[in-house]
Amino acid sequence: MTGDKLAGLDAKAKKELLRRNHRKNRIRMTTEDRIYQIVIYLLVTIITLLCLIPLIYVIGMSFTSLMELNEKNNFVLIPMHPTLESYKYILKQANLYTGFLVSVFRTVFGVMAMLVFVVPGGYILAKHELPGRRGILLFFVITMLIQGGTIPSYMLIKSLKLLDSIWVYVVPAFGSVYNMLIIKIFVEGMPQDIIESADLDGATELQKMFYIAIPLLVPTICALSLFTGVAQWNAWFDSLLYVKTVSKQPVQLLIHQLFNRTVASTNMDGAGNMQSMISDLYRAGTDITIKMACVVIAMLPIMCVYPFLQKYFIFGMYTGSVKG
Amino acid sequence: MSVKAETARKVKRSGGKRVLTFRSALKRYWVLYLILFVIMAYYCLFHYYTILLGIEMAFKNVKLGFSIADSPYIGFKNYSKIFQSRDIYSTVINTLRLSVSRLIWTFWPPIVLAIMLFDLSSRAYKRVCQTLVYIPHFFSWVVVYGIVYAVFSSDGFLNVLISALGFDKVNFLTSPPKFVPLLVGSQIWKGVGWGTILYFAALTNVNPELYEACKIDGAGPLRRTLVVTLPEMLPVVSFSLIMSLANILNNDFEQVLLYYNPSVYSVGDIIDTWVYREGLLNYQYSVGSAVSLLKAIVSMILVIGANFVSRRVSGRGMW
Repeated sequence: MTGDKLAGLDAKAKKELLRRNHRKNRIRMTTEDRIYQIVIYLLVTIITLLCLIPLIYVIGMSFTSLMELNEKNNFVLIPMHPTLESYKYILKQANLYTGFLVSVFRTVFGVMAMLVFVVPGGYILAKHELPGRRGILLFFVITMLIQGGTIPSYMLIKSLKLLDSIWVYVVPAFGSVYNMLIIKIFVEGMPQDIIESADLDGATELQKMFYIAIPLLVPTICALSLFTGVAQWNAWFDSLLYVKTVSKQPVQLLIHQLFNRTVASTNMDGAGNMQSMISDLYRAGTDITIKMACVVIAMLPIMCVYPFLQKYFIFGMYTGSVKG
Repeated sequence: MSVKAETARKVKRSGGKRVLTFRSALKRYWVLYLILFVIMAYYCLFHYYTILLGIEMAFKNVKLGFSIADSPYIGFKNYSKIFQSRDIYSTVINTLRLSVSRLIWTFWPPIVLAIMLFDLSSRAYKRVCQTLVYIPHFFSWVVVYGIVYAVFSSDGFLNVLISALGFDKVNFLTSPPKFVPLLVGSQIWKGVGWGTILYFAALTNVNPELYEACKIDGAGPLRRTLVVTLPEMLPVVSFSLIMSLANILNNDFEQVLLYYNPSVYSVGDIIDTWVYREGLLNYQYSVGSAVSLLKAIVSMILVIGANFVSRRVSGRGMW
């Protein structure tokens, strides 16, 4: 019957009709299905809320005044009289400004450093006709399997005179074998004719990489940059290890010390200059509202970027999981 | 003979497959080799050199103020020192306890959530929930600890709730029995949404006809999950299970470092934190390096073994 009907129609109408038929013929939901749907809607909603409520609580606290907090016995989800008191307070602290700048610095330069090695490296490793390629690949993969560990890395950084320098965030950021392999996989997936067609025009190897491969790699490069950027923004342990001048520490470490002052004394040289490390921010920042405002400031950039770049994040995860 | 003609001859000889001799390749691709050389030199310094340094330090007695080169070799003395001290056993036990509970409690929630999200009938709602549950993944452990502090500290969200209900306050942050649940709980919170992506990708590849056939046969939703969804997910599930087993010695070191404090050392001190504290902060460089070297070797064997097993079982490996 549908065959007769379809015969006299153009492609668009055919498609429409098929779609409608499909809808009509869809298998009906049974009661069991309905109950199942209700249950999963409930559970998914609860899980989603559980992911969000702590965030709302933290943000709410950061906008609460201490007075309201006392009145309500510390239980405020959304403040009745929101105030910017805590933000005003922490914005007066010079530490946080420099911390923010350091975080931005390491995010920008860390991503650039990563790309400088990862993109050409991945492109070259995808060239199957290159003699010695497998050996070189093995050379890189081994570094993923075994690492030197914290102490030798510390010794290396020390002998490179990078201790307490802001470049300590950038110099070790060049290498990322995992990202290199992802670039390699994407270059391998490109249609080879495109790259080879440039041979006819007499393009050099570098020209082929810059003018043909890299423009095609833009989404991948964006995704990798985002992940590296987030990791750089979130990093704090390297700073705890290598940097003890407060003005060179990123936001994350400053906040960590705000919560856990006893761990703050990472003086590798043994000279107990704890005093310089405890800044005004820590002396006064014992109020929970101020702590929460700091936490909000540390997550702010990610919250701002996330909605716009979500698809790249997920694209990156897919490439990491499916292809890697 | 020109390079091109030479290459053409080689290509012909190898039956169409492009195989170059090293010499002609070096002539043609010298720029690429140069770039690779620079990158490899960097890796030699930042990876291979640190590995060698670690091995050297593990068999030497490096004291504060002496360079590594000047320190004397002492053979396996560092290792005998380690195995005589009590610390190492408790840190290994703590590491394993933490990893096993992490494995048990963070492994299945993403799978369940992925199935539920996949089965939601409304596409728009599905997308909104997915977007929202991914968010915690992007916060640093420092921020997550801030949130944990706000919720679990002595006058945090939960304790206010508890005391409002008339119970005694609980010290979540400093009580040893609550340390592991707190750690694993925040790992679930941070990772459950993000973990679904891997499984979700597997689910979208399932042929929808399988579900329809199942429905026509009168199978209910739970039966469909059991008969279609889970078998289809099995390769991915076994892959990620094997890989997490390989990482059993690797805890989230940064997380533990943030969460632990002297009052929970008895359960919270893992291998990595011990190496950091004793090796770096207390200047026992050699002993610390010896421990990390041993750990690195064991984990490498575990990863290679897991990859081998995974290739056999699920047909996919890490490389």
